[in-house]
Amino acid sequence: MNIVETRNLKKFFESKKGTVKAVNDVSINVIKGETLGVVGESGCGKTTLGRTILKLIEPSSGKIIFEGKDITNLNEKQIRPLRKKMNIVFQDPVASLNPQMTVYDHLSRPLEIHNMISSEEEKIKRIIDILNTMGLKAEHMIRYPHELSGGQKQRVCIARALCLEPEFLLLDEPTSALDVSVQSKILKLLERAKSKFKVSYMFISHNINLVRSISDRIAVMYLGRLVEVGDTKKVFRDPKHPYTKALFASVPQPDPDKKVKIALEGDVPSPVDPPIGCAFAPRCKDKVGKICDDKMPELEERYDRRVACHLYD
Amino acid sequence: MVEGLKLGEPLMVIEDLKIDFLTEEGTVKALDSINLTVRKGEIHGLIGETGCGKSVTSLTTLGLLDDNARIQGGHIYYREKDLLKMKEKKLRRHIRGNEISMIFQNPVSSLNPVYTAGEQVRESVVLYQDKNKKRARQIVLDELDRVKLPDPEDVYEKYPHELSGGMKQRVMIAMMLACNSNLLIADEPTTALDVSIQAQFIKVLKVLQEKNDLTILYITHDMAVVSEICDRVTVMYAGQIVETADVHDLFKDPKHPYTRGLIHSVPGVKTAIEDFETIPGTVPRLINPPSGCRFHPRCEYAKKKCSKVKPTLEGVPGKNDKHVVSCHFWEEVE
Repeated sequence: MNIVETRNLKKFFESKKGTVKAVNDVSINVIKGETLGVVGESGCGKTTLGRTILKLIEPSSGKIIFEGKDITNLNEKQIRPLRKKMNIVFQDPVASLNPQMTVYDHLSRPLEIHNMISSEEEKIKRIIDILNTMGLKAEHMIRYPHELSGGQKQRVCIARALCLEPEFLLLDEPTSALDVSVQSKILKLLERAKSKFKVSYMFISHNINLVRSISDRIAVMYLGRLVEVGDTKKVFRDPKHPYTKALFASVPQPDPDKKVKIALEGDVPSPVDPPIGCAFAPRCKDKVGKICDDKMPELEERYDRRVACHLYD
Repeated sequence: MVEGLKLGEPLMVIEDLKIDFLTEEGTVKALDSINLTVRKGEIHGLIGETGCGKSVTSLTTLGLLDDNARIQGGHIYYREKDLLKMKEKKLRRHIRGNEISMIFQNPVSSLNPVYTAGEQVRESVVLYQDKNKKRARQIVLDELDRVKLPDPEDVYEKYPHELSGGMKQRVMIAMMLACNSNLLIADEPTTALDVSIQAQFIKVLKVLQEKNDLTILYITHDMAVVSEICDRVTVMYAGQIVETADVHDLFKDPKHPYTRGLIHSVPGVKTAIEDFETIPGTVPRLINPPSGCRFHPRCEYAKKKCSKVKPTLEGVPGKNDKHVVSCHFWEEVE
């Protein structure tokens, strides 16, 4: 069963230079209980996709379906009850916390807004419980953000997102601002919270090794479009799309015997004026022929996954 | 070029360097007697987490520390001259650019937005190579070509905002190359770049190292990048050096408990999250750092001695002092 699904979702931005096609015709689903990893280089549209799904930005066209219900056209007031079911954790924990509010304030506010508690005792109990789940203690309740380390701040942000017991949590580069030793701790806590609260994750990151570890399925984006979606293990074992192959080959591994290959020459083209055919065609080493420049390949079922490439026509 | 210095001979030697920063909250003991040798022709990685002192180390070598920094002791010998004893004027004339140059993490803030890329590289050429305008232009074009920028003529005329992040970073290297320096200090040069651009950038550095015998001190927090590019690696923790080794020895046979923890918490070493190791606790604040070994409060092997006596770097037997570790009990670490 899908917790979230998009159908032909588009988000275009108008800029001085023209229309930026940030998310272009994306159909993706997050299955209940899974972690879907979304990877791609900067500017590929992964963050815009996530925020459009949560309706933090309005889609240009297409559909967003949450728990089987079309939420595309809901207004701010109509969507509010759904906000406790879907939540987000941002990359920068410093910018996500109010410096004048204690940890207690940060966690009690959402509980009050959504009428999740009947008494002050219940509220405190719940806050302590969620803090413990995130490896923090009751004494942290009275701390202000500046009294916490970077990792602790991010744990408060995750606790705030989880305290409403959401069905779906969007994690947008949640560990990119943190040191590795702290990162591994956060990842473990996220895994623990996932089984405790039975929440589904969409994990957006540019760190491919990380997404490999945390996600059940992986979606690869390039220039606003999905190029490959499939089971994480299978996609890593045998990437099908030439971009996926090239991207994975460029990732350094923490092993001096494994060296990266330069598989991608040049830069990502501008999303203002993307190629007419396959967006990756100008950089692709496996081009089939003219069709790649002329016709946009559809994301179709191939082998055990979905791939958008003429190579498999 | 460094005359008379063979590959593998010490180019820069940092000895017992101690630096404090005076802040409103107190004295930050940023570097606690660090020792580091960078050898001719190697890419030497300096790795550690936020606040471990890796950037302070690099800024000190070029005399770029803020006014509140106090050098409390030690030496930085560059080809046997102590940089810490050199006057600002001499540093500027003989060291910065000529001998040691630096590239920073953020190419956007390192380039001047009102000059074209070519003009900025030409400034280095005119200062360090050739004052003739026409010839200088040709040298700039050659340098832009050397860092694999497509269409150097075109890039020459472009302003920084017209270039992508990867291209800007390559203009930075071209600028550095134009100085003809012997030692490049690269401070997190790829952190702002995408993996594909990072791979291209690493390739450019590798080629320069091989063709020009360029020596590079590569500062980063990324273990995967270190294993990719470096020949030797020094690991820092909270202002102390914990271990230096060849990259293979460091990854296959780390001796210090911190190095071990660091390597095993990097995604990619272990694939499953449950196998990731974590280091308990957090990095200490350096206003009041732990006594003795600064890692001891977080170390599972710590004993009484660790909080009392600061360990010194000692050689691992059979490695000819190429693998040194600063831990009282490294032989017990498994």
